[in-house]
Amino acid sequence: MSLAVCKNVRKTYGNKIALNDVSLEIEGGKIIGLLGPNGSGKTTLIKILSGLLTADSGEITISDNPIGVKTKKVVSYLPERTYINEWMKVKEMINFFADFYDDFDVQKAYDMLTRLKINPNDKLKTMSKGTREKVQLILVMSRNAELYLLDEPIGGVDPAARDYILDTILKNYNENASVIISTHLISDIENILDDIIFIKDGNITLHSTVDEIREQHGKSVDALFREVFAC
Amino acid sequence: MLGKLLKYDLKAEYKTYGILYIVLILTSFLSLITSKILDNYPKNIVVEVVELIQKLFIAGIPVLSFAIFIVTLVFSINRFYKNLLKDEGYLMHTLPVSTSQLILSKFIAFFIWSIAAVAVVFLAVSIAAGGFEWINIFAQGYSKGFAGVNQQDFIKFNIYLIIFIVLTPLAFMSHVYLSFAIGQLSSKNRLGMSVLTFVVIYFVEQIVSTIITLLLPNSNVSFEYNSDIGFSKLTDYMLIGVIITLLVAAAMYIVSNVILTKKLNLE
Repeated sequence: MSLAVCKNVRKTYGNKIALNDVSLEIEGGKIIGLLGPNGSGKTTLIKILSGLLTADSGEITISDNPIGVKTKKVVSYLPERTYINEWMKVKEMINFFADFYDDFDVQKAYDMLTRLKINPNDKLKTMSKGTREKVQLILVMSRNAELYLLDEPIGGVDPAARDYILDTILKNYNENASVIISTHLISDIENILDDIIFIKDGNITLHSTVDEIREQHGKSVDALFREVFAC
Repeated sequence: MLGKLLKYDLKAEYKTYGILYIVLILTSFLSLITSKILDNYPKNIVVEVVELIQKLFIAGIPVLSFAIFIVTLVFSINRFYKNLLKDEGYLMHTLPVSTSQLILSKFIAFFIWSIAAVAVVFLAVSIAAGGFEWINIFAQGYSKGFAGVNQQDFIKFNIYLIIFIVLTPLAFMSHVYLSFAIGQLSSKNRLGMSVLTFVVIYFVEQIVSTIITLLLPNSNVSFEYNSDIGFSKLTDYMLIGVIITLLVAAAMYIVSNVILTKKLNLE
């Protein structure tokens, strides 16, 4: 059974088509790379799945429910920007997540904070952008969600933290859940991906497993991406 | 979930409001203390300085009270915009709560802070006045102003007046919410579009209310407050005003809800 289904989803911003009749099925238990150049529609698709944007037309379901309160209960979303309440301390933000999400694992969050040497009593306002991004990732990955939507999770952090983040993603999603990672830093995440989706100008141009790509094209996902999206 | 949302909405601003409330109450106490000093000591150079300070405190009470109301309004508008339509909105709109709960929480928080502001100002004035006697004096003066009118109409008038006073800031906030809800639909300069929407709605409201006023029977009659007939008519018109304000505010609130639920556009 598909975890998430998009049927003929269309979204425009004025005259610009962001998503053009996108149809897609996401199965459970996969790490999927949503890959495309800037402005290809990655973030728009993720925002529609998370309920931050409404599609102009089309049908979207997650665990058989249309986007709404029920889907938000099972979707864990990491935006490409800082979305946490800066007036709070880290521990208050943890309490906030625990208050609203039944699937939030407080202990897991504190364990990850300790490993990354982040003080729960620190105010988010005083933290660097990179540290705030790590806190956000910890919060998002401390949920036992069914679908994780991670929009550019490794864009703004140093390579050492990048490895930790990818490791965190791998270790913290359950086998029935799926993770959609949007990025253009393909070589960094290629090793952890099961499936890839290429998106270009609002159209899905390829949806395949990483193994199939290697077998059929005889090249890495990164090499294929450079070929398909060559300027 | 509404209770949890409200908890965080109140928590976000309580420190700022708390400081303002403390400063106002402190000013009132200092005003009272200086006034007691002036009452108990003969005039000399020190007492003259105290008198000057007391005047500053007395002037400070209305200034601070006004500041509290303005800050309550501005912070509540800012909280709605920043928490629901800017970066924090990415978190709030992905919480497993309905959009109507998100908006209602902001609305209730604004109402609570408004009530708190009124209570604190009331307390500050009472402290500065050295008790609650000022209420009696005010009530007597107020009643005297309406001495010639029918008592039943006077009671009705006061009930409508209280409803109107409570309703006005809430209606204003619904107007603000609708402006933001429409403004966020734009792909460019959403804040600018919100301000423009606010102004347009304001003018439409003014035009419609002028038309309604002109359509009311005897709308050209000038009222005399001590005339029974005039006052009775004024009371009726006030009821109409309350009902129209309530309906318009409710409509704006509902439309804001629908737009932000069906057409949320956090680009």
